[in-house]
Amino acid sequence: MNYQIKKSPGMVKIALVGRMCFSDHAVFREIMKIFDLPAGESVVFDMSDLEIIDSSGLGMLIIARDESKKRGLDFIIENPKAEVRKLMDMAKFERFFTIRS
Amino acid sequence: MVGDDFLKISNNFSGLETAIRPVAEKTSQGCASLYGLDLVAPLHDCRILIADSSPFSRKTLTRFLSWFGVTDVVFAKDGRDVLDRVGEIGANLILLDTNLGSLTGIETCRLLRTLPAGRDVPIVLQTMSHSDQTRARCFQAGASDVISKPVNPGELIARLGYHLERRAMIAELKKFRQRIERDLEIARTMQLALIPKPERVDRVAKQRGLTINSRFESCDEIGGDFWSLHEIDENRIGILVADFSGHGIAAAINAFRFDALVSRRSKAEQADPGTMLTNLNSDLCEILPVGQYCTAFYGVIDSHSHTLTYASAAQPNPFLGGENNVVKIIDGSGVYLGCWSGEQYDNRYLSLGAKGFLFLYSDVLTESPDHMGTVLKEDGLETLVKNVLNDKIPLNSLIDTFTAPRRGPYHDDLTAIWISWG
Repeated sequence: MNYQIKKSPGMVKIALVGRMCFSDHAVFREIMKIFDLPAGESVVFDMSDLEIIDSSGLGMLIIARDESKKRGLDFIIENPKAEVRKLMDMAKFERFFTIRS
Repeated sequence: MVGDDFLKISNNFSGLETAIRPVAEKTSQGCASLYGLDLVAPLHDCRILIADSSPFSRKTLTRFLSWFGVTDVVFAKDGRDVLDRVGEIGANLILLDTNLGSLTGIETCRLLRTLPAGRDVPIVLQTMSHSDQTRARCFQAGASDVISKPVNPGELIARLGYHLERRAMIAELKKFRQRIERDLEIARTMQLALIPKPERVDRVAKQRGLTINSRFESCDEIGGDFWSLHEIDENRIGILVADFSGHGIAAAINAFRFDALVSRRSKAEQADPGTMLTNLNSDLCEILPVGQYCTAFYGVIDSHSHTLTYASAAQPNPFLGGENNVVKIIDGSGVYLGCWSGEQYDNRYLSLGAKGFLFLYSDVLTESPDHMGTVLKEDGLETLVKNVLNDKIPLNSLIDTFTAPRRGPYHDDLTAIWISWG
């Protein structure tokens, strides 16, 4: 998985690209460092270019949500592709995550 | 021991040694150094096999090696000798002259690489030739390195040290890998022991007029799949299928913890899928770190009232077959187990025909790519299910069709359970 960061006032947008899988734990740890933000700010995962997510990747989203809650940040998932969205729907993610299409 | 064809030379070049002493000496760590540069690896435990037709070269090489503590030097008289005795000698490194007579050093090197004893050992070729072509041919024959004659002691020892260290590291990695593979194999056997025994599955199914076929294959890295069978009363059985997130040791450990939690459930919990998953979730939430979870399906089949009561936690949608080969995909959606504490799992009810089947499976069936990189997805699996319905043992046909274009072991565990009645 690759990622790109775009910062704007009060918000950090992280565009996730490729596959978010078991082998991406090290990359994900890097991404989590970006969550060191003042409370009230937003972190957006832009998933428009994320092709595949596996069970470990979905676990990473749960970690990101947990970290955001601890820090008082808004965590938003944006534009997941149909296949990725299907897995999120299967686990009823809409009840726990803000997902924008 | 070496045979008569080999000459083991003890190093005794006292005059020369004294003259050179100032440049070759012991460091504080006990490793030899040259020109003040520490060597990367101690060489004193190494056995070096030398094949060189010149007595002068043999003496010089032996002397250089002795300065660095290498006293275990074995000589071969020619290339054929090297090939014949390489297995017996067990050298840590082979030093060949390219000019060895009828069987050249380069050809000897090439043949050594075809022998089990010569496949991995570092082979250093020495040559008088400075031509690029000769050196390229040496490497093409499998040489680890090429040094020019006359040999300089610093260069010789530095290169030998490099290759010996590299070989030691590879040997260490191989040993480590073998240990991990052995541990994983033991873990796979332990994981298989969690799965219901076929004799018990047959007995429990038969008593209730059911047939249960199952497949469980642990992946090469070991995964977190799990399934269990529960006898509730003379008419009802419960079937639990679960898959922990990720794979590898962590997922497998979670499957073992899950087994302990499942075996603790009362008969009342086993009879009520919603309660079963609600309570398992509550227990898992206490022990799993954030980000680890499992998908699960728990269904109770009543062979008397022909009903299926189930609760699901994002387990892949099961297939339910009825009369006239009608196949329905049933909703497996639900919140993961072990993530959100206090979650309630509701029962869902389905009536079953007098004849039919329930097919439960792990996502490896829908997500594993074939040799063209194509994955079945749910649609593809549905077609596969429909194609095997009239076969004697549909699950066997389905797994055979699935396996044919895919090279196992898969990236994740495979669980597939086909329960049929009527």
